[in-house]
Amino acid sequence: MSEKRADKVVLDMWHVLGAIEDMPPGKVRLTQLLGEPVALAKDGDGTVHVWRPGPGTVHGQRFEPSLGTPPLPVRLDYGYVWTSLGTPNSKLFAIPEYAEPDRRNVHCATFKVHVSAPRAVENFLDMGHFPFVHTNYLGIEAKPEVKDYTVEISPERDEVLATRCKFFQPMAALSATGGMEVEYIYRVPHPYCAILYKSCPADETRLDVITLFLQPIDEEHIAANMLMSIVDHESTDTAIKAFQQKIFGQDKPILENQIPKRLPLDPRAEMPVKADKSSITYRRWLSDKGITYGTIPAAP
Amino acid sequence: MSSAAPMSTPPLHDHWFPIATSDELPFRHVYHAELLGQELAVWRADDGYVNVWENRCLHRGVRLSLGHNLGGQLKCQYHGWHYASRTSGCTYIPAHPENAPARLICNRTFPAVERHGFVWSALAGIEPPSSLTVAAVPEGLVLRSIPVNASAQAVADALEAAADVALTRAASFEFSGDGLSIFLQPVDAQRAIIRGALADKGGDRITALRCHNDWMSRLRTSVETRRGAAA
Repeated sequence: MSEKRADKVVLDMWHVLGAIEDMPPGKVRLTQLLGEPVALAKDGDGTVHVWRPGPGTVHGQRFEPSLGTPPLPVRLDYGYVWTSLGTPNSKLFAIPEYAEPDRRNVHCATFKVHVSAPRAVENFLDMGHFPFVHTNYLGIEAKPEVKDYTVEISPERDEVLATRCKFFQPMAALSATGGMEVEYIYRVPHPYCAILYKSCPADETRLDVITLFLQPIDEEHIAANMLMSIVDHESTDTAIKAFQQKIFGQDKPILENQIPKRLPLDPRAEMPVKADKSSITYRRWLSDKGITYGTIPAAP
Repeated sequence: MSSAAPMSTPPLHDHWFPIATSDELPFRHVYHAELLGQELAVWRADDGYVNVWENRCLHRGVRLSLGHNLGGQLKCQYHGWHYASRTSGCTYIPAHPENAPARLICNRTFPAVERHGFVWSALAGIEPPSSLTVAAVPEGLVLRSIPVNASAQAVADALEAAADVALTRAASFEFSGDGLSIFLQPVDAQRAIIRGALADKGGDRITALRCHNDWMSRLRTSVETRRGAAA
C-alpha cells in the first residue's frame, strides 16, 4: 500500500465513497480514501454521515450519534455519497441528463480493482480495445478501426471532451437488436471520473449515459462505481446491471495486468497512436493540473 | 549499449540461468517467467524459435503473457497489436489497419538458448559463452521444477548443507553430483526456482523422478520454515 499523501488539488476535490442504496441503515462502513481511513453511515432518519474514524471504530458496528466526529463534508449526488479530505472549492460536475424524468438511473456495480484511478479512466475512454476485450459485444475483430475523432480541453468547464467518436458495435447495449455504428461522446470532468454518452438503441434522438466514478482507495487501488442513466423501458434492472457487470468484468483483468499500475505522464513512456488522442490529452491535462497521485509525473 | 555498459551491468545480469523447461513452452503457449525481478514473456514460434521478451506491451503496458501466440507473431490481448517472432518488431496495429507501424516499435528482447531440456537466458544482452556450464548437464530426465519462497542464496546455502543428497557446488547457483545437476533460478530477491536434470541410467524413471522430487520438496519446506521463523 502506498503511503504518499495526495496532492492538495486532489485533497480539495469531492470523491465518491459508494452508492447510497448499498448502505444498510444504522451500520458503520469503514473504507479508505486517498490512503486515509474514512467511515460512513446512514442514520435512522436517512441522513448520511462521513467522518474520520477513531481507532476504536469497527466495520459493521451500530451507528451512534456519538460517532461521526470529526465530520467530513458530505454531498449526495447521482445516488452516491461524496466527501472531501480538504476544502472542496466548488460544486460537483453537472450531469443534466440524470434529472430527466423518463430515464432509468441504475447503479450497476462497485468493483474493486488493483490499479490506479487514471489507468481505469483511460481504459474507459478507449475504443481501440472493444474488439479484443469486449469481443462480440462492443466490437468485433473484423472491424477494429478507430476512425478520427475530435478531442479538446473544454475551457469553460475544465474537462477533457472527445466528440465525433464512432465505432461499429455488434451488441452496443442490452436493448440493441443487431450491429450498429455507435456514436460516442466522452467527458472527463474530474481526474478520477468519466462520463460517456452513446447512441441509444431505443430512441435515436437521445443518448444513453454511462458514468465511471472512481474512489481512489490509495494510489494503486480503486473502487469503481458504474451508473447507467438510460432510455430503456423494456429491460429489468437486474438485466441492465448484469450487462454492465459483464463488460466491466472483461476490463478488470486487463487493468490489473498493466505495468506500471500508476499512469506514466511522460509522453515517451508508452507508445501512443492516433487512436489514443483522448488518452494523450487526458495525460497532458493531469500533468497541467500537477496531479501526481496515481500517476508517474514526467521528469521536469 | 554504450561502451560503459559492462561497468554498470548489475550483479548476475551477465550470468545465464534456466528460466523455463522446454516442456513449459508447448504449442502456441505464452509462458510467464521471471528472472532477477524482470518479468518475461517466453514463447516458442511454430518454427521452433524461442522468444524471450520483456513482459509488457509497449503501447499501454499490458503483460504480453496474457496475449496469444499466433505461431509467428504474438498478439497483445488489449488492443491486438502484433509483434513478430525473432525481431519483436510491431507488424500490425488494428486501430489503424491501413497504416504500417513505424519500424522503431520493437519490444525489449533477451537472449535465449535451449539446451538439455531448459531454456536459458541472461538479462544483459550477451552472447552465450562457447563453454556454457550447461554443457555439463546430463542428457536425460528433467526434474519437476520446485518454486521456493526464499532467495536463491538461501536455497543454495541449504543445498550445500543438505544431508540427504550428495552435491558439489560447481558455481554460485549450480550444483552437481552423481549424474545430477541442479540450477537455481533467482526469480527476485525473495523467490527462487530449483531446476534439475538427471542422467537417464535406464532404470525406473518414475521412481528416480519421485525420489528427487521428494528431497527437493523437503528442502523447500525446510528453507521456507526457517525463513518464516526468522521473520
